[in-house]
Amino acid sequence: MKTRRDFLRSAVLGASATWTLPVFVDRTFAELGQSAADSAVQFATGKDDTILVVLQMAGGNDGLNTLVPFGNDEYYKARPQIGKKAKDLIRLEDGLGLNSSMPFLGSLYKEGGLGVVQGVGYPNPNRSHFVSTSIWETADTTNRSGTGWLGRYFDNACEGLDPTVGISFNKTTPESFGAMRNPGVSLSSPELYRWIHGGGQKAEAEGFFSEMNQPMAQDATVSGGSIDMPAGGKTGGIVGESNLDFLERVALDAQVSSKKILEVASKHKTNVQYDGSPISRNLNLVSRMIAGGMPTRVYYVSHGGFDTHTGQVNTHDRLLGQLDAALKSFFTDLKQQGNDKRVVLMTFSEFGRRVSENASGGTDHGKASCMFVAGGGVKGGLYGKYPSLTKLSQGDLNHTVDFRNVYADLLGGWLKAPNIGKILGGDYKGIGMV
Amino acid sequence: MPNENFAREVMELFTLGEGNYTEEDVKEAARAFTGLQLSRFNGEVTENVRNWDNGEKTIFGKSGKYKGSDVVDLIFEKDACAKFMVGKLWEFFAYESPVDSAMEDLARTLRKADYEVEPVLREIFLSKEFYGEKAMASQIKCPVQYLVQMLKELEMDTAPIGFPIQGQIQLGQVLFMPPNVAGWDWGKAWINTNTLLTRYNIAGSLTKGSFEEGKGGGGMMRGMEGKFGRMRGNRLAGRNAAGPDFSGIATESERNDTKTLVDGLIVRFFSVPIPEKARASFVEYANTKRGVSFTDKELGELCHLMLSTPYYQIC
Repeated sequence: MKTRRDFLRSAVLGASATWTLPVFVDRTFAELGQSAADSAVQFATGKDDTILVVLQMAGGNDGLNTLVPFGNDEYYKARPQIGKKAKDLIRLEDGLGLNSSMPFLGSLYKEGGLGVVQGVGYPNPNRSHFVSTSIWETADTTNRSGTGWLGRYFDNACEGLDPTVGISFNKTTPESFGAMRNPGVSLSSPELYRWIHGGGQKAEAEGFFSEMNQPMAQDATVSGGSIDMPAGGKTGGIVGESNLDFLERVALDAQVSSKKILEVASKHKTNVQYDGSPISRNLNLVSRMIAGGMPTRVYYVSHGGFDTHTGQVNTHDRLLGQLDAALKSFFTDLKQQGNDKRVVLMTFSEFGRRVSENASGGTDHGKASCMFVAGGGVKGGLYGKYPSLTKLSQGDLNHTVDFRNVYADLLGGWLKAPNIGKILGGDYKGIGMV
Repeated sequence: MPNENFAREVMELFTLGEGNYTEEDVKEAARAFTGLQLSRFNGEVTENVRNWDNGEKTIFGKSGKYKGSDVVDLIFEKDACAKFMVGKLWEFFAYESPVDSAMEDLARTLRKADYEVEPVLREIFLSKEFYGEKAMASQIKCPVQYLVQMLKELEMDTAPIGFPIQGQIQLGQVLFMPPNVAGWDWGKAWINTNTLLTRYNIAGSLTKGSFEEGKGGGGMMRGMEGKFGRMRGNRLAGRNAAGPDFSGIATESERNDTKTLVDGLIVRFFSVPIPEKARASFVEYANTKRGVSFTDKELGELCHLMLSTPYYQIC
């Protein structure tokens, strides 16, 4: 099969100039072998298929104050200042409660639409934000993989080379999108996702998306956390590209995806209210893409600021509250569209935090934490086992579930990918959540 | 236990690199750093002895009643520190992932000079490798370099109102506001489909200026009306931008010959050789644009095309 780079090389000129004038486009495509052109612009075939939304909680989310073991005295001994009282929690099971900043997830749990995985981690955990994020993004605990787990899914399980098979709303391409052939695209505002040249090409998508193009607090420093949106230390792309090859390929991906995204984004208007946080805005965009019929199988969004070393409680509760509000709008929106059965959302964070609070009213980098898996396709309930609060490793929780087993569930059970072993680099069984 | 964040990040990100210290080193160093205070008013750091843990600590296998400044000394005594720092310098000025042995040589220079930077920079800039093929045209411009260079190449002494901050925000590098404690990811991280299109559109808003009468200033400027209109009421940002003074960019006689015109602009914009096919396309575009004469408006559109290329992102 022709790769996108072959297509590019056989073109008269790099992507940018080909779209400047219709004449360039015509000529460029005419000079190509038709097959090369087809494979480069062939769209993924997942229009009515299942969709995975990956939501990064960047900075290391404190699982112990998210999913609180209030029945355990050890918890309060370790956290005399920042421990959450039983009466302040949404009770899920005996002795286990959800942070009360997340009423939507609480009710979703009760309706059976939320899977909560307890004690997730991996062997020999690393306490560096950047190394550990890489490990989660590549699903390689030795941190040597050049490709990401989602990129390998695109490469191995998705037909064609449509770059919109994966869309990231991050500032930088997530490492999980790193691939051999197809690393997806990045987007921040569909209306601006095109090359604007001359006065004659007024935006097709102008009116509808202008409201989306509002100021966002995206660049404000998040107080209390030194990690806002880490890109994971490395950037997703195609392995081994020179910088110029890389630029040419990205330019082509942008060109190939631009028109489609503009069209799709203008199709749907929601009457569901999303609040002004960046995570709400980005989930709103995801829902519009889904409503418009994008063939995208994986969307990636980030919610940052979880590195709560000092004065944790307020910051952490606020971040969880923003997440909950965003998820509420998102799932309400999907339901109205009739797409709620097609979408599963998974959260992850590079690590949990130390069991004992520190002297600054915060917590330091730890190990195991929890994950949420939400949506119509999920068998709700608790998965895994809550880690022991007494059998610790250097003051941290030991994991009871390997995150790659959760990935296996979503890849095999939800996205129906064959060849999970190849994608995850090992024989990981799902945990029966989807 | 004291907050161990500073102890970890100072070793991981700024001096030693991951793998060159243990978790115990982090915990013990955090104890030594207790009592350090930062004044939020003047940025001064002081040691408050009453808040200092005066017990014995073991860091990198050495023991003592260390305080914060002792930890800094212990860090700088490690070979990994000099190597880490010269690696950063080399990657900034030359290219990514240099060979190990070369960095060891540079690290020796840095240690010998007691971490004074000038000798090691001299060695880098006078090395053969620095002028080798691998170091040429191998870097992707960071947003600030991209924005400032473009203004200079278009001979614009002042940027349009809102342009510098809006450009930084949209391209992902706001000065003094790094995304996290490690600073910005460099190189390829600057570019994805979204930021590349944004660069192309920013180039359009600069090259076309007021010719578009507020329309084609394009996406970027529309975004700006939202963002800045509310902040300072300059909803006309970009609309009143004059654009470059094209009379200084190409003379009348240069405009009469499209090849001469394009070649002049290539020298102006590209620090790296561009493919012959690209040049031919620029010339062809110029020919189709050319009416009776080559006006400033058409010149602006040609410039926009030339800046909207992968080659322009490289230096």
